[in-house]
Amino acid sequence: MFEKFSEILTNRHEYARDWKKRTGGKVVGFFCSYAPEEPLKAAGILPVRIIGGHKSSDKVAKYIAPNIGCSFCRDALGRGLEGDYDYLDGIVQGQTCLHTGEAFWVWQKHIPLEFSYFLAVPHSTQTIGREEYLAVEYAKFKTALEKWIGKEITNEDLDRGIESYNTNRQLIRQIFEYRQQDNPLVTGSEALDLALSGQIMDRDEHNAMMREVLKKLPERKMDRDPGTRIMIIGSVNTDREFMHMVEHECDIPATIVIDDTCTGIRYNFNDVNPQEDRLMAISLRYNHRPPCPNKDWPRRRRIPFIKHLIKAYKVDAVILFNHKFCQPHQLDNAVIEREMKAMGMPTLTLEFDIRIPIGQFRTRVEAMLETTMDII
Amino acid sequence: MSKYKTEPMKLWKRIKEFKQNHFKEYHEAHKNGRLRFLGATALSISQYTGFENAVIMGSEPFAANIAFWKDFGLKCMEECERRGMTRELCGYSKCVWGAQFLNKNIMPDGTMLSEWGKPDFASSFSLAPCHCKWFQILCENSDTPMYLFDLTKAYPYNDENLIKYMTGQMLDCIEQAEKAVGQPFIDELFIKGVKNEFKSYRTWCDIMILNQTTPAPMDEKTIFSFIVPNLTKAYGDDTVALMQELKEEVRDRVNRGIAAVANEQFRIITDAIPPWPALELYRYLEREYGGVVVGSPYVICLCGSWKFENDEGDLIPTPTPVELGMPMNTREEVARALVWYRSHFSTETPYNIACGEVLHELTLKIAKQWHADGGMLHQNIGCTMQALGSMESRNAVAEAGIPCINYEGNDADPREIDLTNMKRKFDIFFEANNVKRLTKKAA
Ligand code: SF4
Ligand code: SF4
Repeated sequence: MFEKFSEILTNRHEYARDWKKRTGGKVVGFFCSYAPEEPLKAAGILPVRIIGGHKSSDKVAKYIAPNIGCSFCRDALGRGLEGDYDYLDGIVQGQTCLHTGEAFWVWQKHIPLEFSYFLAVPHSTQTIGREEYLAVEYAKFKTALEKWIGKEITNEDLDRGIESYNTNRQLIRQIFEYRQQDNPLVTGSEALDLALSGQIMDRDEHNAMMREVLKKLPERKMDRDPGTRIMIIGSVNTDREFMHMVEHECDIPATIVIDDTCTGIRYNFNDVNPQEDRLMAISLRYNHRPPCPNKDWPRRRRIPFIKHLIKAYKVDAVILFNHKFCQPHQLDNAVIEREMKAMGMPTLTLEFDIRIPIGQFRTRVEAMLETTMDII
Repeated sequence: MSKYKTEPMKLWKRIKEFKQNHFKEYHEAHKNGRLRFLGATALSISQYTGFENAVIMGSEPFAANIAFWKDFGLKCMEECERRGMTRELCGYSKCVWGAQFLNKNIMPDGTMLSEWGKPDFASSFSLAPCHCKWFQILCENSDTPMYLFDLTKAYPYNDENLIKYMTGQMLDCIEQAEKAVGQPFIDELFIKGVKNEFKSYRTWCDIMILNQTTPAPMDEKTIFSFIVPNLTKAYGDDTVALMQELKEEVRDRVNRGIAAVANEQFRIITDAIPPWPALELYRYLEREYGGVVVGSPYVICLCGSWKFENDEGDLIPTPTPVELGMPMNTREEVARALVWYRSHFSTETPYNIACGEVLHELTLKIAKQWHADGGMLHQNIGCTMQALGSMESRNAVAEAGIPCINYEGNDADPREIDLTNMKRKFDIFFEANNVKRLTKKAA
């Protein structure tokens, strides 16, 4: 049912090249999910999330030291330096963590493109004045885009962008809801491919594919034991091999029923509520979406959000998914772990590098799964 | 026979006393019926001068002092690690969290204190998000009221959207602080404090420019001692006076050709917060190679405010709002002027990753304007923000024909500092650049 999403995700570069050929449009890569895709879509541009390939590249070490840069960014940058993203016409960074920021600057300098833009998204999405601030930054961004593409982005264009992305997020949430069932109708691996393929595809095409899935999904029969219900908490999860291992290779059955990651529900949780000032509407969405650790201060909103998901998706155990040298998540993880412990929630922290020791991870996941069973 | 005459800095002792006294004032504030404010120095701590009996401490010098006393610093870090904070997290943060967990602290002269120094109000600025996460964790754990400023992107400077945003936060912070400490905020004091800060920061720029002279009148290790007044008390009359005196002394050294390093033969720029637990490496460079560190983006910008001439030329001091005649009669006007001035290249704003495009250019300009023969950029793995841009700064300097290397270290964690390796790296660098060793190499 989800094979097509997986296929496109696997062949994402071919998809983007083909899209360009089909439409004659421009493609812009973005590093972090705080880059506003709606104005890009409004400009007729295909926004593509830049992700790694789980392959090392010796080209990165000249710019970012391997013992400092997070593994996700080094991997993504490596793919850029190796030429995998040679079809990009531009790049955009919506400010979040230090690592994506530096990856952006290195990319801008060493992989010259027609267009590049660093968008100053507020660090904290709780600060007084942040909504107005971001709306003004969007206006600057829109002007830069207009200059680049040589035409005005009208309110009607923005409405189209907003509509396409809102629909996309709504459809993803509808599909995700089937994961709340006692025997989830969508596995974690499928959900990841579904959500991640959206981030590299034309949303209208992705929407059409999801509508087809939704016609058939209620009737789907799952022939697997859902086992322990797991939640993944972390940053960018692109590790399909790991997801597959947890759900299909462990001796003890398990299903990843939900996540708090920026490739999953955090990205798709809220919509742009239309209002006259379109850029303010978009600013409100990005300011009020479930935050990543970088943006979650002074109050902690992640913890209540995580607890809400645990309840809604009947989570039995949590995996804290941490990219190597990802300090933002490390900063939150000690607190999350403490909270999980207080709830009696089995919690496993795993550190992901560009390549992962899958066998070792399997042993550790199985050890955690054992603690969720009534066996001593 | 030495190449240049050298003399110790006359103000050295006074500066040490200044630091010791300020820390004492902070730690004894409650005993003396005063309030403690602990704030990140990026974009100022002078907003608290409006509280009549405030003692204000800059959080970075507070952390650096712990890091400098490496045995205590290490205990702080180990305490954090026992509580689930990983080794690779920020060194400064772990110094202060650790002090709070242990409820102990240390004075600049090494005297141990039996209390960490909980503030009545704390604040930070997001030079990087972690700079605010640092305070989020600290204030949660110590039940301290806090205000965390969102400093999004300080370059290009003169950005009205940023100035408006930050000014709004500063006014809000003042109101929150008033509520938290239960004392009125006096605008006249605030105006005076901020105007003093402008003077202190402007004088710092002049002092740094004097260091462009050959031989350099000051070396960076010495400069580190002189950053404390501006970082902890730029708003004070005493700091304004002290900075003037320092400027006069440095000018006098320049006029008389007094060098920081008698055998100066290779001028070096560095980068980032130094490895506080291993400052002896500076003396190694001087003694063995006549290498004098004349400055860095860190130390030059830390206590001053800079801009590019006509927005693209040389690095020059930002004219102060007073010099520019900006209105400064109301709280709002003063907050705005302060934000405007300090959101140029000031404290660590150029390290804000959003300014990545300019950090490397700034580093190169400093190398050229301070007449560096080479660069040895500290890749400070204790601070991700600084470490991440470091290699590209090196590349920019090296590509411009100024030999430059990165050396890896840590501003706070002595376990991450390999002095032997650092020295070896420096030896190779000097050798490669045909710099004669001044001493006989130990067998
Ligand atoms: S994994 Fe962490 S450090 Fe890396 S991009 Fe994501 S949030 Fe940033
Ligand atoms: S790592 Fe650097 S920027 Fe981050 S909190 Fe520490 S000192 Fe501040």
